[in-house]
Amino acid sequence: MARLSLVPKDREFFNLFDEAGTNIQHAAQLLGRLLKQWPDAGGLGREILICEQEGDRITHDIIHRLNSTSVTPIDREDIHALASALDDIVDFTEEAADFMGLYNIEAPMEQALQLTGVLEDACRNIAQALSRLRGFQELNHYFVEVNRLENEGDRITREALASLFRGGIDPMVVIKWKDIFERLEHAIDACEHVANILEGIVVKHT
Amino acid sequence: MRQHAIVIDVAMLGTEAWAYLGRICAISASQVVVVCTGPTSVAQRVRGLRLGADDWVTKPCHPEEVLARVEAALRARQAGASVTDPPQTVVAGELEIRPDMFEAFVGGRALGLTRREFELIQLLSATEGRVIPRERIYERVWGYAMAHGDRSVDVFVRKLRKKLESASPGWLYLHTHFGVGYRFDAQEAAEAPPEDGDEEPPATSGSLPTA
Repeated sequence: MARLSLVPKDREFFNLFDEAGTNIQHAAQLLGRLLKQWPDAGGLGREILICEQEGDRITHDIIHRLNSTSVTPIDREDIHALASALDDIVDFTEEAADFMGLYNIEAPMEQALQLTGVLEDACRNIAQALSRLRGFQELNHYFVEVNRLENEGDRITREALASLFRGGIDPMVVIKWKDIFERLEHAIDACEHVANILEGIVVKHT
Repeated sequence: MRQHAIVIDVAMLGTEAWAYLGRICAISASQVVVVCTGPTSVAQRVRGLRLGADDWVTKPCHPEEVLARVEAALRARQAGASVTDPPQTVVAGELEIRPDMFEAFVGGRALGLTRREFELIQLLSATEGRVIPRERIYERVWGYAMAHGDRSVDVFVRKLRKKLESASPGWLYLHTHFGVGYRFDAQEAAEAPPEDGDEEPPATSGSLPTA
């Protein structure tokens, strides 16, 4: 049975987290398209940068509201941790996209396409969980799925890194792709971190 | 990136130095070999050059001088190659591939190929009618082993096709063999089976011995 609150709580936080969920999902989709179309990705890198800036704006709005609200619907430290972790996802996503141009990558790697697919799925699950956060109900399957996707991301990254260190490969290719694979893995890890924070919030409210 | 030159400090190789230098010069006929090492005798330098080294630089030396000597040796090698191996033009369909110009032409109009695109079409056209595996194409054009999952060959074939289709719309030149690689064969578009695409479906200090 849901607990009855006797004090008014600012529900705007849920709207902001909903916005953040939509933003990470959009950024991940753009990264997927950028990699599939690379090197003919047009202005997708710029669009991802706009998502990163939008993520910063949402995080700032959440922190500002947190500092000006006396009673919050979720523990203050959880709101802060969740906002920061969501910002990390879009930051790593933007870094991966930025490195494609910065490193003058000629063509995508199959494993990078697989990792962006995993990232898109993880972000979609998180966005759906965030949109249902108000009720704190029936969210566990999202967390289970994000954890499964993180394991899948780890497996793909390990295999991708191992394949780079087989003999005879251009050292510049190794350096560039090692960085990009690691950024993609960090983005997926950040999704798992968000899922863990959300799981803790749900436990406290049920 | 392709390796064009090797700089060796023979003093680092101990007693095996001369044998190693001789082997490197023998197996790297297409690459320049420059020895950069500490003070040596005239006999040692003569021996190294007669083993096949293109130049000999004595330390201490400035890195810029080493680079300049490598570049000079490369220029000398290229000048020699251009005299002994005149490039041959390949004509297929409406396409004329000119190695002397690093360019391909249709009806006298250049396709505007990048160096990589040119090297790719030159390699494929040199083996007209035969399927070349992706890994082999990558090795020959990029000069390194292909990393598993690397789409570079597919992307460059796609770019080449785009330029070829634009310049010579009635002909097909590059044919995909899924799971294997690509084949160059000039076919009139009406006669050739349609190409599905160009990409795989998603799946992956020592001392120097005396001379």
